[in-house]
Amino acid sequence: MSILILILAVSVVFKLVNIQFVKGDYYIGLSEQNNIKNIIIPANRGSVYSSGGKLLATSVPKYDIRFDALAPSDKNFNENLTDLSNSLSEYYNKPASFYMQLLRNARESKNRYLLIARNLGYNDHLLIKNFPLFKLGSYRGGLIIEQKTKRDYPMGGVAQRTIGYERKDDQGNITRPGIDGAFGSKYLKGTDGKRLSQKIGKGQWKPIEDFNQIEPQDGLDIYTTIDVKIQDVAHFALLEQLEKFKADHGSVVVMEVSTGEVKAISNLGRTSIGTYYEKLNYAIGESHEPGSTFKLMGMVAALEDKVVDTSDVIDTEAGVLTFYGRNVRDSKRGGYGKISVAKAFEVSSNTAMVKLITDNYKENPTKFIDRLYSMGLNKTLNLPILGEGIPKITHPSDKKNWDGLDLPWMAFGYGISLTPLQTLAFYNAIANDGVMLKPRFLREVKDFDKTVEVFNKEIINPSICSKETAKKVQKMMQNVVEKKHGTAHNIYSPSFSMAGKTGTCQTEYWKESGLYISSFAGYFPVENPKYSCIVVIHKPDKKIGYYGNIVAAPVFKKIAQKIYSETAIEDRLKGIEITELESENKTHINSIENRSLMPNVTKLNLSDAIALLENLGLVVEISGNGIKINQSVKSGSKIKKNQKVILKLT
Amino acid sequence: MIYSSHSVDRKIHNIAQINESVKSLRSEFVDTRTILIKYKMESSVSRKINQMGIATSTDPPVKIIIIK
Repeated sequence: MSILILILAVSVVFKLVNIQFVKGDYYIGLSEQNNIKNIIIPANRGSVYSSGGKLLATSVPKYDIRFDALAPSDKNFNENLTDLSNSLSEYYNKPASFYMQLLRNARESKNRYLLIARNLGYNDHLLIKNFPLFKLGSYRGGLIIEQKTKRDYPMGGVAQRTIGYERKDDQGNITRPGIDGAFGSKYLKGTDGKRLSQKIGKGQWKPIEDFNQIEPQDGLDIYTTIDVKIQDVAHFALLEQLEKFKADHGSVVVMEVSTGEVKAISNLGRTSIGTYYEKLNYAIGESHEPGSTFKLMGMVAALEDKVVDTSDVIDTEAGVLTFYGRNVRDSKRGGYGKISVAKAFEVSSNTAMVKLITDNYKENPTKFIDRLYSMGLNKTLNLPILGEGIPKITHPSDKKNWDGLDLPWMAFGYGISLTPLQTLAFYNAIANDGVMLKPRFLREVKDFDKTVEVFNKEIINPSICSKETAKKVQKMMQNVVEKKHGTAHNIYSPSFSMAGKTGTCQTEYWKESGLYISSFAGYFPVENPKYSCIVVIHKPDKKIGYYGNIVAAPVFKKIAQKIYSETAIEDRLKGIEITELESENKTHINSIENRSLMPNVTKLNLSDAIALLENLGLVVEISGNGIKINQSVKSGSKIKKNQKVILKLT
Repeated sequence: MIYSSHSVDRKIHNIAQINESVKSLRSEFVDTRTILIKYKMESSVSRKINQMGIATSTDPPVKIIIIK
C-alpha cells in the first residue's frame, strides 16, 4: 500500500518537474501568447478644413444599431413592441406594421443580430437608444451598439468629390479621390503606435512597460483653399441651372487670379430620377472638346506670332467655309460680313477664326501647334488629385493622326481636348497678364495649431504670352460681355464688370446629333481681375436651350454678382466734423428746469423730440405725416411717468 | 505589488472610459456642428427668408471711412 502511495507521489513529482523545467518554456510562451500582445494604437486621421477654418472632413465615431431579439423577456418584448414600432416608424417614415413584423420575425427566427440602423451620428444614436425597449439596455432590452470611426463631412454633399476620401473595398483595393485621397498618406494618415500589453478584465489591455515602443503619431490637419461661401454660391448656382436645363452633368471652378487658389469647385451629375449629386470630379477628370472657349488660345497664338492684329479685317463670306467637303458654319446664318479680328472673337465667328488660323498657318501648321505647346496646353497641370484628364492636341509630326482637317477644326475648338480646369488655368493666366499659375487646393498643413508646411503659389510658366497680347485679348473678352454684339451680352450688368468667352459645341456627334456642351470661361472684375471662373454644362435639353451664354454664363454671373455684392465699397471722406448726437440730447434734457412739467417740443425736430420725451419717462406715439409737430399734452402741464403723449405731424 | 497592479488596472479602465466619452463628445460636437453649418449656409438662410419676402441684396454695402 505504502509502495503504491510512494509511486503515486514520485510520479506527481516527476510530472511537476517535467512541466516546470522540461516543457516550462513552451507553456510560459503559450500563456504569454494569450495574455500578452503588441497592441496597435491607431493614429487619429487628420481633418480637412476650408480656407476659413471650417471643417470639411473629419473622423468621428459612427454607430450601428442592432437588436438581439432573444434578449428581452416575453413580458418586456410584448409590452413594448407597439411603442417601439411606432417610434421607429416615425423616425424612418415607414409604416409601423413593417417594424412590428420585422421585430416579430427576428424573435421567431432567433435572430440575435438584427440590423436596425447603420452609420448613425451621435445625436441620432442617442435618440434610438431612448426608444421603448431599447432604453432598457443591452441585457434586458437587447440593444447592441457598435461604434466605429468613420469619415464625416459637415458640409454634406457640397464639394464632396474634391474633398474626397480614402476607401478600401473587400478585396483591399484602395480608392482615393479628392484632396483627402491625394494627401491622405502623406499628411492625414499619421503612424500607428505599438505597445506591449497584458490582458486584464473587461477586454482591456494594460501596458507592460511604462513607455510605448512606438508612439502613435496623429495625422496632420490640412487647410484647403476652398472658400465655403463661394463654394456654397457656386454649388447652388450650378445646381439650379442643371435642373432648369435638365442637363446630364456640369462643373464649375472658381480660382483666385493672383494666387491660383481654387476657391470653389463643384461637380454635379444627374441620377436616373433627375436629381443631382457630386458624382465624379468632371472639372479635373473629364477631358473634352472645348469648342469656342478654345478660340482664345488660337487668338493668343496668332497675336503672339504677330500674324494678325486686332484691327485686321476678315471676310466671313456667307458664314460657310468648306474643307475637304466638310463645312464650317457660323451660328448666325449668312455670316457677319467683313469684320475686324477683334469683333470676330467677340461674336464668336467660326468662319473668321478658321480663316484667320488657316490663312496664316496652313503652310506651316507646326508653327501654330508649337506655339500652343509652348503655352503648356499639351501638358497636364500635374495636380496632386488623382485622375487628371490628359489634354490632347495632335502635332503635325504625328503623321498617323494629323490630317488636313485638324488645323481648321482646331481653330474653333474641335479635334482637341482639355479638361475644364486646364482651360481655366489658361484663362487665369490671361487675366494674370500672362503668368500661368498652377491651380492649388492646399494652403497649409498644421499639427494642431502649429504650422508644419505652407504652400505658396506655383508658377507653371512666367509668361505664356506678352503683356500686350494679354491686354488685347482681355479687351476682347470684356467686349464679349459689354458690347451689344458680344455673345454674352445677356449677362451684362451696369454695376459690375465681367469678361469672358462663351462656348457652345456639339458633343458625341458621332452617336447622335443635338447633344451640346455649353460653357463659359472668364474672370472678374475687368479692371483688376480677382477671380477667374469656368462653367461647363454637358448635354442640356436642347428644347430649353443650349447656347453657352444662356446655359452656362448665368452661373458665372451669379458667382460674380455674389462676390461683388459681398465686397464693401469703401468711401473715404476727409475732414468731416462729427457732432455727437448723444450729447445733443443731453443738452435738451439739461436745459429743462422742472422735469415734472411738459416741455414745448414743437420747435424741435422729431427725433430730438422723441428722445427728449422718452428721457422724461413718457410714452410717445406718432401720427400723421409732415414736419410740424403738434403735441397732445400742453406745455407746462404736469406730467406723470408712462403718460401717453401723441405727436401729430402736419 | 498586488495593490499597485490593481490600481494600474483601475486606472486603465478609467482611461478607457474617459476615452469613450471623449469620442462620443467629439462625435456630438461634429454632429451638432454639421447641423449648424447646414443652417448657417447662405443658401439655406436665403431660402428661409425668401418666404418672408426678404431677398439678398444685389448691391454691395458702402463703407464710409472718415480720415482725420
